[in-house]
Amino acid sequence: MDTKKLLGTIIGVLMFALLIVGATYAWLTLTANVTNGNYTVKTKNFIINYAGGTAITDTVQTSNATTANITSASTADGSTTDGWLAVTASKTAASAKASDFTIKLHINSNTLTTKALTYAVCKGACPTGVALATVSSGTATCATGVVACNTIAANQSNKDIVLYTDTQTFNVDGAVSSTTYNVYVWLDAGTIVAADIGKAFSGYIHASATQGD
Amino acid sequence: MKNNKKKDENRNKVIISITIVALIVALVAGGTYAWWTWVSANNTAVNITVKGMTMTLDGGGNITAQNLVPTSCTSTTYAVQRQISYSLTNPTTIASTATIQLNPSTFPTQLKNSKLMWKLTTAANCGGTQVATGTFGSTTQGRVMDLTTIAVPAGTTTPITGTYYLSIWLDSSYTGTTNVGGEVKDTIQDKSMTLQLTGTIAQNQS
Repeated sequence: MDTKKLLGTIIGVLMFALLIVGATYAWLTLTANVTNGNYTVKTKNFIINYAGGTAITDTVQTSNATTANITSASTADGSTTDGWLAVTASKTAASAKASDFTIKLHINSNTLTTKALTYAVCKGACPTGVALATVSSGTATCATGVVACNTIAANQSNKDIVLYTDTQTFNVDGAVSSTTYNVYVWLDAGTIVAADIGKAFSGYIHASATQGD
Repeated sequence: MKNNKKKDENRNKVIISITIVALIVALVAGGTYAWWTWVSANNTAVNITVKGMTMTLDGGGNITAQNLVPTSCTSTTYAVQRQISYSLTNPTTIASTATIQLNPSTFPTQLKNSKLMWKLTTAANCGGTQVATGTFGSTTQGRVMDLTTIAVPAGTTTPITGTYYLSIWLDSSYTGTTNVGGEVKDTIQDKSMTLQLTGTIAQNQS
């Protein structure tokens, strides 16, 4: 048999073999019959609508820290003190519930030598006509209706202190109505000393919330 | 003598050729020739039904609205918890493999995150033994995800049945917030996805 005929025979046999082999690659594959298997889910948002109030630039020195004294005492330049701000917050029904809502005071710098700087927080309006807190030996005692009060330690910088944590209001599913927290700041007259004159406090109010279960 | 032999050979070749041509013509012409025929009196039945495998899945109930927030696998509030039941047969003569899958028919790219996770276990709410786990970090809308496989031997006429528990959750280790104006809002929030339970059963190629 000559070369061409031999080559033709070999090619023919190979192609036939390939045809046979190829014809065996037909495997059954079936799709499942599925019921109750559609899952539509949505990532919830977590938005606290927040307003931090107007900056505090001056405050009163007093031993009778009523709301009126703190917010309306006259200063030497004819202005009135403004040692008060209102923090408001709410969340939508679509937002996940929070386990807490915390108001903090960040201290940039506090060069006061005493714990004269004092704060009080009320959820809603503060009581009027009474001292929001009384201070003795650097310890503040809150009046009825004041949810948090304390003195601020001297000589601190770059530190956060928690003014108040609300563990109830935002710990619900659904919408939370706008809630106002009133923060008052003053210098306790019974604590301040001459060495505090010229000293300054610098910081800011901020808030945070943690998603709850 | 040599010439006579050659003449005989040539004559034989011609006779063979003529015969072959005549047969071909007869074959092509077919019905124009009347031949004796015979048919058998008894017919032997040949009835074939192509056997196939079956796979049924019950996904434990459709979900139309479920919220995901960062949580743990065991959460019954903010994680998807579903019982998946399967039933498999393979009456064919070739072993097969069933694959349980999820089809992300709606899947925003913002949800493509490795902290969005899934797990198959042997007990409810991420309990028991882990069968398989994975994330949605490489998920693309419409691209089917394999969860796990089950071997179905040849000749399985009595269904193989079983139950797995599927958990899908946004893990509490997720971090990432984006400030948008006065709000703290993450791009992963407020996004919907639809996952369709599906599956295939295929003969093993040998």
